[in-house]
This record gives sequence, C-alpha cells and structure tokens, in this order.
Amino acid sequence: MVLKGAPRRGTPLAVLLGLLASMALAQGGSVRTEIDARKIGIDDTTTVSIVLDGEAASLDAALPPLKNLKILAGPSVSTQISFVNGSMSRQKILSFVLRAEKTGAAEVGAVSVPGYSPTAPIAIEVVSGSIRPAPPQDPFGRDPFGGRDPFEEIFGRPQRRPPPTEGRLFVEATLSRPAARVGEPILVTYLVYTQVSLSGVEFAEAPKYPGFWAEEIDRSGNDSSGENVSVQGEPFLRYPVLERLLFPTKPGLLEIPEARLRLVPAGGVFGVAAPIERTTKILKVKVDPLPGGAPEGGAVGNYEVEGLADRTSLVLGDALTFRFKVKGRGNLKWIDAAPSLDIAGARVFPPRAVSDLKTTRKGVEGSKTWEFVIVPERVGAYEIPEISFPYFEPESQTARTARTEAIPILVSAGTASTSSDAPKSSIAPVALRADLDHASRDVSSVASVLALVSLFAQGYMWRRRAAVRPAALRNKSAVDAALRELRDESLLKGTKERSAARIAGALETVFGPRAGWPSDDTGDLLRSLAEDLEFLRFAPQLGSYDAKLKEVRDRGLAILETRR
Amino acid sequence: MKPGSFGLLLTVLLWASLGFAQAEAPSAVFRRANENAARSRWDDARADYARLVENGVRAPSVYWNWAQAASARGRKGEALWALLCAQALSPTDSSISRELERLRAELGLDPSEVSLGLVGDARVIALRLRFDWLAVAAFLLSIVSLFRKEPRRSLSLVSLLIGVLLLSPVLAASLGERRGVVVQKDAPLVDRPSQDAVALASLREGEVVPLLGEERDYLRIQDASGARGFAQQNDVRKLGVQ
Repeated sequence: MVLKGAPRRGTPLAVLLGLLASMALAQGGSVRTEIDARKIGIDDTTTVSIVLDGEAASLDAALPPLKNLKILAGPSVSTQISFVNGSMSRQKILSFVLRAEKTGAAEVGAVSVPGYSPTAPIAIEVVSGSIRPAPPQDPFGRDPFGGRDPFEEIFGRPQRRPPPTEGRLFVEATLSRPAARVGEPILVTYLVYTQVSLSGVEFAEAPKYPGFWAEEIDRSGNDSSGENVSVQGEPFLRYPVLERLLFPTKPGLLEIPEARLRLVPAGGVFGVAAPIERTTKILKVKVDPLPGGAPEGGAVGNYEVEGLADRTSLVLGDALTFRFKVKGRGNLKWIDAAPSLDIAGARVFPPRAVSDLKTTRKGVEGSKTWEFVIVPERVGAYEIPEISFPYFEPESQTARTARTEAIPILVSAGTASTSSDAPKSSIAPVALRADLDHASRDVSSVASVLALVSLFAQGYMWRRRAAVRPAALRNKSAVDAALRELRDESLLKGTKERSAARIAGALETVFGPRAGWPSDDTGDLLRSLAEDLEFLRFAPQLGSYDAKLKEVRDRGLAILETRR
Repeated sequence: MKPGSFGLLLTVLLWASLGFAQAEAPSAVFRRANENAARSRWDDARADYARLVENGVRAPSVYWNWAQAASARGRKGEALWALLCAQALSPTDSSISRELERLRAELGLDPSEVSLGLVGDARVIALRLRFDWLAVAAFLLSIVSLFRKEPRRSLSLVSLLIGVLLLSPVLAASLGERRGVVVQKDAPLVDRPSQDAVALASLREGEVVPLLGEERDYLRIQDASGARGFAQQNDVRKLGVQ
C-alpha cells in the first residue's frame, strides 16, 4: 500500500518525516537522480528528484553541484511507505525546482550518499523561451498552487486549510462470505478508511484466527493503492492493509477476534503525528460440516487427477516412476496423506510429494504430485491400478471422486547384466546369513558320560582296594605260619622228599597254587624255587642234600620275608 | 513271498522314495526364505524359517535370519526370542550378543527383563567360556590317573570334582525352570485361562518370563514385576523347545 496523501483539494503533498524506527525496512536500497525534462526553455522550470529507496531512505542527500542552474524551491521531502500484508518498503524523495540561468548546456552533478555509489550527472539543454507544456495537476500529489488558494486572489476571502491531522479515521475487517463449509476458503480483508494522510500502518498485535487455517495471499503486483469511497456521505480514501485466506477446520459458529491496528498520521511539527489505534469488530462465520459421503478432513474444491508412468515397458531390475498428480483449486495444501499404491510382485517405495501451489483470493491453486518409484520383482505383465481421489465440490455441494486410469506395465527378462546368475536384489534391507550353519558342538553330554565313567572307576578302585586289604591280612598270618614252618628245626632232619614237601606246602599256604602265582619278580623266584624243590623230591639219593635243602629253605624264607 | 505281496511292497517302497524326493531340502527352503527377506517379504520369510525349525533344522543362522526378518517386520519380541534361540545354539557368537543388546535397548527393556535367570545366564557364560570342553578334559584325566600302573587316586578325585564343578551350570540349566519370551506387544496377563478372564496387566514385548505351567491355550507365567497370571500361548514363545 502506498500512502500518497489524503484526498484534500488543493493540498500540497504532506511532508513526511520522522518515520517509525521500529518498522522493518526493506533489504538493501538504492540512490538515484531523476529529472522531469532533459531540454528546457530559459523560462521553464524543471524538477530534479533525488530518490532514496529502502535503507537509503533513512539517510540524507546533499544538494548536488549545479551548472547553469539555480534553485527556485526545495528541497521538498516526501516519504512513501508501502505496507502490504505485513511487509513494508520505504522511499524518500528530495525534490528541487530549478531554472536555467542562460541558454546552453546545464548540468545536475552527481549525488553522493555514504555507502552508495554516486549517481551519474544529468546534462540538460537550455534553449530560449519556454518549450515545456503545463504540468499535469495531481489532486493528491503536489499542490499546483504552491500552497496558496487560487480563489483567495479571485474572491479575496482567504481561508485557512485544516491541519493535516484533522479528519476521520477508522478500520474495518470484511469477509468474502458469512458462511462456509469445513475446508472452504474465506477471504478476510483489513481496510483502513482515512481522511488524513498516513505515514505508517501496522498491527498492534498479529491477528488471530482460532478454528481456521490461515494462508497468506501471494501478491504479484502492487495493488495496494487506495481508492476513493464515500461512507455516510463523507469522502474517504480506503486502503487494504492485510488479506488472509481462511479455511475453517471445524464446524460451528466460529469467531475471528478483533484486530488492533496502529495508524500513524502524517503532519505535526516534525511531519509525524502520534500513532492512533483503531480496532476492527469481531467477525462471526457459520461453518457447516461437510455433507455425508464427503471424506472427513479431506479435499474441498475443484480437482482433476492424472497418473503418469515414465515408461510402460522395462527390463527386470530397472525401476519406473509413477506420478499421481492432483491439480485444481481448494484446500489442496491440507492433503498430506499419500494415496496408497500396492502392486503385487513389485516393490513400491514410499512416495515423494512435490507441490506447486499458489494462494489466491479464491483458494489454493496449483498442483500436488506424489512420485512413486516402483521396482518389479519378476518378469511379466503388471498393472498400476487406478487411484481415486475423493473430494467435496462446493459449487455443486456434492462429494466426488476423481480417478486415474490403470496403466499396464510390461517387464521383460534382463540382459547380460540381469542374468540368472546375478543377484536378484542389489539391496538387502537386513543383515542375513547365507550359510545354513550348524550349532556349536555340545560336549556336555559327552562330559556327563565321562563323569559317570570316572565315578564308576572311582567306585571300582575303591571296591578293589577294599577287596585286597582282607587278602593281605589273611596272607600276613599265613606268612607268619609259613615262616615258622620253615624255621622249624625238624624241617631238615627228615628225608629230603619230606623236607621239600614241607617247604613247598608252606609256600603254597601263602602264595596259593602255582597257577596263581604273579608274573612279577616274586613269581619268578617262586617258580625257580618250586623247580628246585621238585628236583629235591624226585632226584635219586646219590649223596647228601642237606646243603641244598638248607639253601632252598633260606630262599623260601627270603621270599616270605618280603611278604611280611 | 507271494508275487502279490512283493508287488505291494515294491509299490510302498516306490511311493516312500517319491515322497522323500518331493520333500524340499532344508538348504533350498533356507535360500528361499532369505530371498523373501531380501525382498522385504517378511511374513513369507518368517514362515519359511519356522518351517525349517519345525523340520528339526537347528542352525544358528536360521534363527539369526528369522530375527532379522521379524525385526524388520516390527515384531521385535519375536526377533529377541529368535536371537535367544540362536545364542543357545551358538553361545560363542559375539554378534548374536551384540544384536541382542541392540534389540533390548530398542525395546526399552532392562537387562534383568531379558535375563534367563541365574542358572540360565550361568549356562550361557559357561558355554561361552568352553567350560564343557574343560570338564571333558578333567574327566578324562580323572579316569586315566586311576588306571595307571601306579594309580593316583587323589589326582583322579580332584579332577572329577573340578569337572563336575565346570559342568554344573550346564547340567543345572537343563534341570532349571523353563522360560519364554513375550512376542506380542501389550499382550494381556489375565487371571485365569478362559475367555472371560480379567486382564491384570499388559506384558512388555520382548520380556523373558518364567513358565510356571500350561493350561489349554494358556501359559502360566510371572512377569518382571512379580505378577502371576496367564498369557495366551500365541503371545509367549517358549525358549529351548524348538
């Protein structure tokens, strides 16, 4: 919105100074010099304007050097503030009215502003006489009468114009419709009606829309200029301050709370008056639910759908992209849930949503596309099924369903790169083990068996030891008896046969029969002794055998002594 | 033998041999299951792994892959059960332990909630440290030392005792209480094994619970908080019986 001045008759452009420091300024800025004529007569005047845009508007510019020119008036300073849907831009113009001093060449020098490039000098050609037409008179622009009432001179009735801050001022919020269904767009517009010149407009606090989903309207052109309207017979200049597109999210009687705007009139001692606050009225909207059959929280508007596959035949292992596109006007921005797509024998990846939407006064226009990547998993014919898109059409007040057409897909066998030897899937989503391995060898059962064997062995050895001990005890008495027998003095006094038999009998009482003798050294000694005894018993009596008997008895004693 | 009887016997043998030939080899089923898993057909893969186990295949890789498929399917409790089975078959596999730990953290369970109990955990540790092999060596030493020319009975006895000590965790676990894993999220714990039972609590998916008994389609269990009740058999998978 550009506030160029209130509709006052014959009033010069109000000088706007002291802009609100709290307002956000446009990014960057520029400085340029403009002139309304490059060729003038010696009797003509020309206006040179130094235009400071954006951040440069907060700076001052010095008078440029003039050649063959003199200043008739100026500088006059005008500031313009554009305030559109919360964004503000600012411009300051310093104007000088010049007249040439003589015919020939004249020049307006370069303007230097710190932080910006100097402007280029402007050359002017001055001729004799007057060659410029009379300037157009802008009733809302500069005062064509130089601040004087032309009727004063005619009628001699000087009148004082009212000061610039006098006049009425109010704000209003309007709705494009008083009632709607859930999801239908409603346009709310905040308007300023003024009879005074304003240097700034802002919301004291951001407007709230409980129960609505609000969208800012995309503004391509500068349509913020005011218009003259008559309210109760009084002229006003009306400016739109803010427009929002509202979508009710629930049924019922919804209220849009009052909005408080802070208005800054131009004028006053320093060009800016104290801010004035105005409040809009509370707005009520009757919101009806969608009729039966319409999807709850679904799309509302006018839509068309289309399904496109980037190819209809492919080789096994390749992927195709299927795009489901919805275009039209309504609340398409709401629709986040992707349509379900399931194709038997093919892997369908979650879609990617792409939006190309623009918010206008009539709704959200454009398209939204879901892109599915489909990877067939076997050779053969497939079909991308039709996809339906249900929505509610406000014009006809009916629930409709738009559908795509089914798309046949043909998947052929792979070439060399997709032979049967090649892996059928390049991506395994999980860490799988390919070998059918075996469980670790469990030797606990073997260990258990060995434990039992060891236990039995322990038992066996214990029992054997217990069995050996009584025999040993028995042998001890037998050995004693056998020793007594062999030490008997009568042993060697009988015949050699009788003596040998007694010795052999004594040994048998200890060691048992010959077959049971051990195979160790003792056994060998016993067997040797037994053979000698046999010899003594059966040898012919050719001489004395006393020495031999004694020697055999001593050997028997020695063996028995080891058993004690 | 009569000619008719011989023909009948031949027919039966031929039929039986055809039946054996038609049965799928475990390796083929395993490969198909893996292919299903690789193509994200989790349910098919799980069914094939289950079939392998039902047919007596006791391979850690089957349970490992089963766990992967179940986890990807979102059945974390079943995945944890499969990993515990794999660990029982291959206690020395450290990757199974890591995966178990990851899954436990994912399920938000306390280590005590996936414990196999004192005896069960001791068995796992004993097998991981090869105590069974050490026990075998101890028993062999015990036997050999007895049957030497000069028997060393004391050494034999000490070896026997050491072997028994080493083997005791494994033996005790086989005699210990059975456990199961809750494989269903928020499975109800009910007061009695019937349809009109009152739900006492919700079981945590992946929780390892002792099995106290079995009645019809229900298992009597005790959850980590000490509450005892019944859970449906489908909600709890038994450990060590597959």
